[in-house]
Amino acid sequence: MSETSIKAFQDNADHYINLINKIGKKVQRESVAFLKTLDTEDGHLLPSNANLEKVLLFQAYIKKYMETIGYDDLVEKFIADVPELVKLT
Amino acid sequence: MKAILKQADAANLALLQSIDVDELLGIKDQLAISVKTNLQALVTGKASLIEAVISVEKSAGVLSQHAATYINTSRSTLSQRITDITAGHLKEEGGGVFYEYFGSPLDDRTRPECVIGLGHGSSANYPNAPYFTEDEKASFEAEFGLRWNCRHEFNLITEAYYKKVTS
Repeated sequence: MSETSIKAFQDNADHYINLINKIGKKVQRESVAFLKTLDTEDGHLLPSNANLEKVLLFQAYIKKYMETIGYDDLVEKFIADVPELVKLT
Repeated sequence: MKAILKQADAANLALLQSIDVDELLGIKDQLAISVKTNLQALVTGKASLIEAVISVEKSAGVLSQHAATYINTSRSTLSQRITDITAGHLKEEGGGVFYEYFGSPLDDRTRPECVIGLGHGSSANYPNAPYFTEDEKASFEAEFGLRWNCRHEFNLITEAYYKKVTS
């Protein structure tokens, strides 16, 4: 492959890494926002059934949230780019 | 050197892509489990809210690191696979295959194995690095395995060029 082709592959990876980083930041913010909905006492999380139940539900929520903010679409596009990259070689 | 890809090679490349889909969607699932497990431990351990925020930010941030590493490695694996397929076709046509270990120049992030690959380390196994014969390339890959996040790969060079630079 030419140096230009190899660079195109690397640039393509960088593009998706930038998008992943943005999604990662949103997941961090959402997780911290969730944390603040939990019951606390004197600034400490309460080990209550209500809190543990919320936490269990959060697993499914955050997975769905990632889909909503474009994680699955990103994976699809990452794969869809391959034929174009192959053409460059 | 231009890549040589035939119709039958599409299945080989499609397999790589299906692995990518599984792996990247798997990272999403793992992240959700990891964040939940971390939250459970924080709640049952009566962690302070400040401590919990730091811990949750860290566990959620792992997504970026894992997915980015996977994406980087996936693209370089694809690129290397195309080179390897091309090498296979050249051999079918009776030609010899030779490689240059190619990529980012030496810097403070370069791993020891890549220093060797780039020809800046001393290794009796790869006396002509960054130029490699087919056997030397196979030996290097067997010795160092899959190089996650690596910024280098083996690029094909002609036999004439190999002879010129190693003579």
